[in-house]
This record gives sequence, structure tokens and C-alpha cells, in this order.
Amino acid sequence: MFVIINALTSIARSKGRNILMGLVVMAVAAAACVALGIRHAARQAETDGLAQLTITGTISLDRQAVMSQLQSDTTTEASDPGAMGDSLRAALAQYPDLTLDQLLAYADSDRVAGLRYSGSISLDATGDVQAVSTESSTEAADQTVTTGMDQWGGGFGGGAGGPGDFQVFDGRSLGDLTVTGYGSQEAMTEFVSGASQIVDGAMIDLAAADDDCLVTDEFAAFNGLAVGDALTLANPAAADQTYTCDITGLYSNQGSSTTGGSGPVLRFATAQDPANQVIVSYPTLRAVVTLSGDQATTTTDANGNTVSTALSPTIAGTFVFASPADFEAFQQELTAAGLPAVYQLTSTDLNNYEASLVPLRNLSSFAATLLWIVLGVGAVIIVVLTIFNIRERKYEIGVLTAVGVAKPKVALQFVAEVGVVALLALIVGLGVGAAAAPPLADHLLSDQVAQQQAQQTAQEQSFGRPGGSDPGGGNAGGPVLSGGTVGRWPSASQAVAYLDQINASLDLAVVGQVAAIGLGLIVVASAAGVVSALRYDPLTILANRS
Amino acid sequence: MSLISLHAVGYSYDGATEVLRDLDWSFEPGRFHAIVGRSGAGKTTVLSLLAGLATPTSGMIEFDGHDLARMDRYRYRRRDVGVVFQSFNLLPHLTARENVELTLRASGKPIRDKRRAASQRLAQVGLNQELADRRVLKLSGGEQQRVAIARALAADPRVILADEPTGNLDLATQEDIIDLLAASAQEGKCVIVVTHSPEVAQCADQVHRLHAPRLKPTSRRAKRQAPSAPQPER
Repeated sequence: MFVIINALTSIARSKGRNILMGLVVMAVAAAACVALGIRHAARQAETDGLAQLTITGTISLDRQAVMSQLQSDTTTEASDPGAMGDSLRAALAQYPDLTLDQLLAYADSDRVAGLRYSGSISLDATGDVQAVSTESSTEAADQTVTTGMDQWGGGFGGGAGGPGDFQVFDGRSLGDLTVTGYGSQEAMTEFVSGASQIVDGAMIDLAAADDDCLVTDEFAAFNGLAVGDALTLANPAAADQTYTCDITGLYSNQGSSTTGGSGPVLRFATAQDPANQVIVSYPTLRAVVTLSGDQATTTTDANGNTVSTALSPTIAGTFVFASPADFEAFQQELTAAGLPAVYQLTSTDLNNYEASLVPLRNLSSFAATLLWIVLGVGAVIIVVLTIFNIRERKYEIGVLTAVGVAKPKVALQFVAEVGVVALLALIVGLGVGAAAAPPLADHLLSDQVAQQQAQQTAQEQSFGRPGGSDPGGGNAGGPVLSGGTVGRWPSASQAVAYLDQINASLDLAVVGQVAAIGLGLIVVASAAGVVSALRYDPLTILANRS
Repeated sequence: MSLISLHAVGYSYDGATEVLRDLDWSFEPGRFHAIVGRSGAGKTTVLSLLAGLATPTSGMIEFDGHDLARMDRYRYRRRDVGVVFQSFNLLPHLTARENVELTLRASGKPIRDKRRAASQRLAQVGLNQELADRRVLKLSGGEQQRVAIARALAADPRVILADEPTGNLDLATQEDIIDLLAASAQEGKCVIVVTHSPEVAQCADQVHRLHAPRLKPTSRRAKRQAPSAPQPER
């Protein structure tokens, strides 16, 4: 009681000194509130974002890794570029795209929540039907007309390669149209995202090999096709092999045949035009591929390579994960399962998500630095103030101990004084910090986002791109050619939707942390006070005073 | 029966400078003791030892039959001894009453209305309500001395120690202060005053003469019998 009364009396008596001490503690508490609020909100936003994120991953061949491996293995051939090229082709041939069976086997893992897969082949239009293409439209009349239902026949189609000819890309023949067979609705990401939608007719049955198909409204209008019509397509490598499907629906695709999001789009084959995409079920596609294999013929080209007319689908498999931890664990499982290291599991979702967090993480890092600086400076100021306070009052210490107040009790009085002042300042600081944290956090975050965007825009402008934004750039599920390249020139960087809002309002966790910081400051200041007070000898103090 | 006794007490600063040697004194309750000696003889040091503010480097001080070195000396100073310092050692930012009240609170004695008790002590030493509410810096030297005495008496200790309580005071105030201390001795307290004033020494029941480095106590009776001023023994 003696200690409390004396402490309160002393606080009331020394208003200036205690107000100064209180202001320092209040500033530290308010700054700590803001910094911790930002960090807490950033963590929360990150966690919430991850919880809402559907994490998908694809396995692809890392050609750079193959090349590096090859270069490290063969030193003698390094000086001969021709021999090196042959070696690289031979090396790449050892690592074919994964088959659907392999993907399904990997998808059996407990870490995988699901597998979305699709297969794509390239076929030629036949008869009067032409692929949507400004370049090939005049040549299309010369195309060979095929006949017969559900059977292969006829000749080569037209398209980018011109009539009577066909392109070979990555060992596969390129036709006018891309036929994609989907294994599930989830794999049809363009439809899931709303970029594509049925505008006439009905969706195909994805589980049935019923020869039904969807074509784009643009393609249908270009060729005068309607729901219910039959569409006959031909193997570009063997024009006599044709396949006919029934159009059950027309769909619109946001991707135009001539323009992309940021201007004209260059394509090196009409089959890559979004308008020339034909959608079937995966069983239908598999039936076509099987039939093609049964009827395949092989020839030997001028280089001595064996060329088959069999259609070889490009399989796009996308694994779905419940969490980033599952994604990482699956990576390890793949290695353990013997998948060569040159195959990589990558996630565009996670990469984009990581990129979207850059401003937030910068802000969080800034907040942490601010917190440490404020705590350090605040602690030093408080300790110095306490020590000066006690030095100034050492006569009082001498008198109190001379009349019998024990030194620990005197020290306790100083601790109580610091504690009461700091506690009051802490409460006020919490209030100030709570009020300031949300708007300050939003302001600082928007600054960070603007900074990142300006940096990205400057980078894009360096590459001659006006806005630096490319909202396209689809991933798995779309029309894919070998190697995972999408049907347009890839942008150097995709537009990132930065996380630009956080809720930095205080909750109990932050209040607890600030209270702990306040307690820490009180302990530091008290320790300084106690050490300082205990080292004074009353007789010496009083003798000096005399 | 002595209340405080010194047995072969010696004291040296830093273990080298000897100030006191072999003091064998005893102080009885109900008596007014004076310790006299020249400046630098160690009078204030003896007072500090008696107050428990310093520890003898040799010998022993007994209080009420207990070795003072083994006692809780904070408690001893809070409850058993009241000290009037030469420079008063009052807290300047407090009023006269607050200074006295502080000692009362520190003593831990069960006094319900400490404010009133402090006022009564101040009135006892001749300070009225108005003076009691003044900050001690605004009081005269004599008034501050009275406050110091009131503070020493506040917790009703058994021993009163006073260091030069009449220094720098006018004659009338000196007499008042001496009367106050003498009255306390008559109430049964053991009053020990360090002084170089012959007038104060003359009023003491017993005078302890200090002459560095060694001295012996002399009684007032012995002093009266002496043909001239007493000389410290060597």
C-alpha cells in the first residue's frame, strides 16, 4: 500500500516527466499496433487467399534441364553444333510426353484431389467446310471432298499449309482444326471461367464415345453450319481417313480469330485459332485415335525417319490439390515414383498467387522493420528516461531508505510508477493504433501496388508493349500444342492481380501482442530502474547532499 | 540497563582511514545523551553507526540485547529509531505534513488517520496547520528543524538520534529544540545528540566525549566535579 500510494503521489507530482514517458510509450504502442496489425492482416489475407485458391499443377518436360544435362555429359561434341543438335534431339526423344495412363496412375496419390485431362489432335476440314482463316479462305475451294459416314477417306485438306500439303510439328501432322476431347467438365476451364459458353444446342456427353461435337459459332457461321449438321474431318497425314461427327451445340469463345486482348495475334497455324476449335468427349477422341492407329501406314522420309499416319494426341493433364502442402508433397512423391528429374511439376496458380502477394509481403516486411526500429528506439528512450529520473531522485531514495524503507520497496515504487504510466499510455496507444491501422495499411499497400505496377509497366514498355497487360494466356485445358505453348506469342509477363486490400483492424491476437510489447518495455524500464535504484547507498547520498 | 551499547566499536573508511577505535559506550532510555568532540572526530560517524546506516568495521553494537548487525536494519530504522539529520534531509517537494506522514506510512504502524497524526506531531513541535501545509523549502531553518524532529518522533521510536540539531539556529530556537529533545527523553526515550555546542552538552544527562582516534565517555557528574572544562582522555 505504501508503495502504491507513494507511486501515485509521485506520478501526480512529476507530471512533465511522466507525460514525456507516456508519450514515448504511446508512440511505441501505436506504431506497434499498426505494424502488427499490418503483419497480422497480411498473414490472414495470405491464408484466406490460399484457402480460396484452387491449386492446379501440370507435369511438363524441362528442356533446359535436358540440354544442361546433355552439355555436362558430352564435352567432346560441344564444338560441333550439328552433332550437338542430333544429340539433343536424341535426348529429347527419350523423354516423351506423359500418357494419360501415367497421369492417371500419378493421380491415384492421396495428395491429389483430382485430375482434369484433355487430349488434342489436329484434323483437316473437308468438303466445303473451311477453317476460319483470312489467308486460306480463297484456297479452300480446291480442297478434296471426302465422303462417307464414320469412315476414313479423301485427301489432304487445306489450311495454313495450303491444299495438298501438311505441316509436321513435333512429330505430329498439323491440320486446319484442333479437336479437343475433354474428360470432365472441370477440365473445360474456358467454360468454367465463363470465357466460353454454349450459345445454341446442347453440351456434349463427356462420358460417351458418341461422335458428338461442339463447334464455335464463328466457325459455324463461316461455313453455314447449324446444330444437327454433320462435320466431316480428315487426317492431315492420310486424307483418305475421315471422321464425321454430329454438331450438338455451338459455343462462343471470347478469343477472336484475328485479335487478342492487346492487338493482332500472330499464329503459325489456323488450327490454333480459337474459332477453329472442335470439342468432343475424351472417349470420342480416343476412338478416333484408336481407329487412326488401326489404319495407319508408315513411310520413310528422305532423312531416313519413319513417319506414321497415325494420329497422336497431345495429352494435357492438370492435377488438382487441396493445399500447397499437398502440391509440394506430390512433387516429392513423383521423384520417389521414379519420374525423371527433367519432368517438372509446376503450378501457374501458385506462381500467380505468389506474384500477387509481392506488394503485401513488401508491406509486411516494411512493417516488421518499422516495428523493430520503433521498439529499439523506444526501449532506449524509456531506459534513458528512467535512469535520468532515478538519478534525479536519488536524494529521495536516500531519505526513504534512511527512514527505513527497504531498497527493494523503493525500487518497487519506481517500477509501479513506470508501470502505471506505461499502462495508461499503452491503452491510449492501442486506441490510436487501432484507429490508424486500417487506413494506414490500405494507403501503404496501395502505394506498394502502384510501385509494382509502375515497375511492371516500365518493364513492358521496354519490350515495346504499350500497356504491359495481357489478360489472356490460358493454361491447362485449352488448345495445347506440344510443350505446353498456347496458341499465341507468349508475353514476357502476365498481368498480375495484386492483392490490394487488407483488413488491418485489431483483433485480440494483435492486442495481446501489443500488450506483451508494452509489458516488455515496462520490464526493461523497470529493470533499469531497479538496478539504478539499488546501487545507491543512503549514507553516501545524504552525505553528498549535506 | 542500557538500550544501546557499543562494544569495542571501531570504524575505518576504505579499510585504511581509521576514524573510531574501541568505543565502549552505553545509552540508557529516558536520558539525554550528548556526543561531543572536535570537527572530524567522528561524531556523525557514530550517529550513522547507531542509526544502522553504517556497520562497524570492528566490535559490535547491541540494541535491546540484540546485535544490530544481525537485525533487519530497515525495520530498526522504521520503528525503533528516529533520526534528525544535520541538514534535515526532508523531501523538498513535499509539505511539512507530507514529510511526517511519509515516515508514518513507512513505519507500518497501525495508525488509522496518518494525516491527523502527522499534524499532531507537527503541532507538538510548534508548527501550526498553516506551516504544516507549506512545502518545506518555504519554511525557515528552525521550522525545518522542527519538521525533522517531528518526523523523527512520528513513529514513536525508542531512540532519537540528532546530528547538530541546533546548528545555525538562533538562541531562542536552539532552546526550543533542546526543550523538545529533553521532553522526549523525559517521556522515556533514549535521546542521543551529536553536538559541538557546549550549551547543548550542558543540558545532557550524559556527555560522551569523542577525541579522535580514541575517547572515553564522561558523565555530567564528573564534568561538574572537574575544576575546568573536561579534556578527553588519551
